[in-house]
Amino acid sequence: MLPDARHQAQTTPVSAYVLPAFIALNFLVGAVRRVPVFDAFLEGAKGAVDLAKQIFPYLAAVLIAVTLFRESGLALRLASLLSPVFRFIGVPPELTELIVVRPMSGSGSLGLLSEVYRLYGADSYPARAASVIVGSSETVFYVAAVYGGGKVKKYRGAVAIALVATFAGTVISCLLCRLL
Amino acid sequence: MVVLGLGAMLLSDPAGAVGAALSGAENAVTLSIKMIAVYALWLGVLGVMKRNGVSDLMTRLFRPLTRRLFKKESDKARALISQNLAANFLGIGSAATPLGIEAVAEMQGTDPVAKDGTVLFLVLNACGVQFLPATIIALREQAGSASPSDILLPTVIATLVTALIGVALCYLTRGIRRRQRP
Repeated sequence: MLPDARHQAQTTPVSAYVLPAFIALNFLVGAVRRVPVFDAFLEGAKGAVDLAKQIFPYLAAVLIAVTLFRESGLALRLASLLSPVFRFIGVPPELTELIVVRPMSGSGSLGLLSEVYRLYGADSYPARAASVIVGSSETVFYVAAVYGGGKVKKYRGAVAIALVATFAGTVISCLLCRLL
Repeated sequence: MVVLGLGAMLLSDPAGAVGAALSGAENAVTLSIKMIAVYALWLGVLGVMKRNGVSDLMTRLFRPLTRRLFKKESDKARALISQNLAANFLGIGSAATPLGIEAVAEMQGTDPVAKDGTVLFLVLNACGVQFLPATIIALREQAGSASPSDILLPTVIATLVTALIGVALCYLTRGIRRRQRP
């Protein structure tokens, strides 16, 4: 019993404490400063449903497009097309599909990341590069759709710029993994 | 993208096309319901933060940065941007989202065309400015890595460089955007 429990305590990463500690600290500071914590919480939380409602159509449109892009095999074809280019600029060609999917789907790229771990080992070069690529980037299309939240109809290049920067970051991620 | 996907789908698997589109929409439904829960928690916590002074503290911490990058925006927009960036840095992406939506709404008003500030803000967020890749470290640990957190340093550097490139591109393409919209 005891060694097991100790092992568990050891493997809990420090980062696991960040969120709950942050929330608890906020309540504590509120209580110390005599803020009506419960009322303040309710006031904030009551906007949740409206926010989700407002974003839903944009989210639906983006996810339909992304699903079609993947299910139709276009994503894979794009990946195989890009793979020699990637090899040339020093990106492991094993990661092409992951790199194509990354800006479209968060859960999809985490799935592909686990696949890379399984195939090449979690400490291999492709696995480390993949970790850094996923960790240093975002689901570009999702962020644009959600943050635009129905207010923004024309993005004026914001999505394109984010994609270009993300790709540059991908190349740099691979370079860093070879150096560090 | 929808047209491309549908076109390719008609060639490869016409019977599955509508099904695939529906499964995408279904994902949006599940995600939205999940997001209601996430928003409820974080908007609640943010409500507390607005009253206990933590929000003001974050705004002040990021003021040197936001004053330079978002010169033209209102104080309220800048405060929201600061809090969004703070949440991103702390790795609380779920708290960053409602703040970001509010910030965009504040900057845009009723204008449907993204302003320069909005473009920069969207790029910053879409480049991902998070510094604690907690999920990935946990995944690596589960996959049996000997030192799961050795990706931390390269990830932080890559994140910073990506964000810098994004900001630089925003400034470089400003002239083109201006010409599009006098």
